[in-house]
Amino acid sequence: MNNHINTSDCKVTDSFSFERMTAYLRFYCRIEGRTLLYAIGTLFSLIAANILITVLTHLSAYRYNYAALRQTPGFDPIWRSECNMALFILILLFAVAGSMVYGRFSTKSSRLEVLTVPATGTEKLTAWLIIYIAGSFVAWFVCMMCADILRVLLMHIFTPFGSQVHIISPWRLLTLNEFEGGTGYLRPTKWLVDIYGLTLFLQSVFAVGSIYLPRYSFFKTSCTLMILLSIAALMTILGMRLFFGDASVTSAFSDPGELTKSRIIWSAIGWIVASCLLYWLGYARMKQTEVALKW
Amino acid sequence: MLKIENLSYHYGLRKPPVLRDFSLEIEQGGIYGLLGPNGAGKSTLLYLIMGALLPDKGVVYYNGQNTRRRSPSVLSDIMLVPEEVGLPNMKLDAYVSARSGFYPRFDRDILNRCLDAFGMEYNVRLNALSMGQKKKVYMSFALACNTSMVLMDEPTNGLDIPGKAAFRRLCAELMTDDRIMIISTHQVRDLEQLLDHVLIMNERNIIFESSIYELQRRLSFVRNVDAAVRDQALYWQPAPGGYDVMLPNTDNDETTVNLELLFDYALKYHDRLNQIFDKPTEISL
Repeated sequence: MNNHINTSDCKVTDSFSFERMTAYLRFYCRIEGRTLLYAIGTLFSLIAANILITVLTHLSAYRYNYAALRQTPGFDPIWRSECNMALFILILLFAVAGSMVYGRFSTKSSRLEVLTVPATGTEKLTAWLIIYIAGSFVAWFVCMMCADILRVLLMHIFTPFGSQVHIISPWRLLTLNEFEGGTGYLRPTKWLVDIYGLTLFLQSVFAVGSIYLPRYSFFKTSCTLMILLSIAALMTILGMRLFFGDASVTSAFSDPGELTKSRIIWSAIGWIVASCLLYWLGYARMKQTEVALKW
Repeated sequence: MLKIENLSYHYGLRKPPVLRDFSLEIEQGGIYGLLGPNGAGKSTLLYLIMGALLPDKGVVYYNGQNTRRRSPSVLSDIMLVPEEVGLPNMKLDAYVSARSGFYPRFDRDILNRCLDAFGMEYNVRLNALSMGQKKKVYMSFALACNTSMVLMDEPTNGLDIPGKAAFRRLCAELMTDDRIMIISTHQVRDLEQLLDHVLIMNERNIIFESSIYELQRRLSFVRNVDAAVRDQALYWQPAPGGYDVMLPNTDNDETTVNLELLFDYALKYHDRLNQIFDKPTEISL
């Protein structure tokens, strides 16, 4: 017992450190790298299989549509189906990714690791959000584009009209084909804001579920959500019928009024605030989580 | 350096408390053996010190900071080796390079030295290791982090005989004047030669604590065949070829502390033991 640990130059700050957050991000990617790669592989396979099945099952119709729409060069009728599928996959992906945000809390050993790694809760949460929000979105976009490139390649090889088939443009994919209907920009923008907002909100719901229900969190959160939504819908309808009569139910779900730019902005803010609130709820729970689960 | 004040903890509202009004103060520069029967609260105490469990009542201060906050400055200065080590599915070198950055005093030479002492290689895949090997690897990493406090929960469980010897040797070599090691165990024989201090826990609190020096000064431990000696003993137990006997040290001769005997005696007669050491029978350190 004669040596001394040199404690000079070893000051560790307790406030948010960008450097430590990126170190945690790298650490997380290393330990969960295999799972993330499998997830991306599965996502790509799912998208590619869906696109190819769509092409195969509708090949004759597709060829017919293609012939009919040959007058509009640069447009491929399958893009519409692709965008519908992209939307469905985006929602599903964000829900699954949401249930993985607090995935390190699912087993005792990983819980201990996440609680004892020297980084603040905010740094850890930031790293997870980068992976599961930004990462999921990038993965979805890249996989969609790659699957579409694969479709075009296969059609070039196996169909006679392959040379006239084009890759979907990134803008069309990101806007989910909504700006092609000729209905102005407000309605599609509102729709996109609501869709992306809902996706983000849904992810935050599943993220909260993953910290409160760490084991089989996707399944448990889905069930809880279904039950809560059913109860809420039932109570709303019954309540409206009880107090305002049958007509109020129809009017409640009708278009509330003229669409304006400010309404879209408020809608976007609403989704972001609601999602942030849920993420904050999850973060507060995380701060109180222990290596032993008491509930 | 480590100060625990009136700590209480239970695992559920309907379950009895594991610790109740537990207080303790530990200064740097010692290897503390935390001894106690199963369920005494040893592991719980280590997790509470680390901040992995949050106390119902009371505070744990490490260098003046409440460990409940799980602040990086505290976490980067404490290392916990759990009883069951869970490691991710990756290679050791990748794990080390990813995690060592969080510990400013991490020393790769120490890691290599520890791995070498345990007979482990650097280029291993962690999920392919047995439980004992995982423990060796993680203990090597923990010691290499060079933190001022190392908490080990049943570190010798699952280790082979050379592994236990290597563990004792490494702990002794890497112990420094400004470091604390707290080793929780019920396998007292494995650590007899290593400890500087003994803390014996039972029934939600510490029932006896002493330095090894003080134990050797006040008590002597002998193996004897003479029944007359046995009859004068504070405590004895049958042993191969006679009796293991614990006596008051009247000759000022230093003997090796028989922790197993002391532990049994403390569990049964901690009031008497504390009287011998001029301590209050209900210890609140």
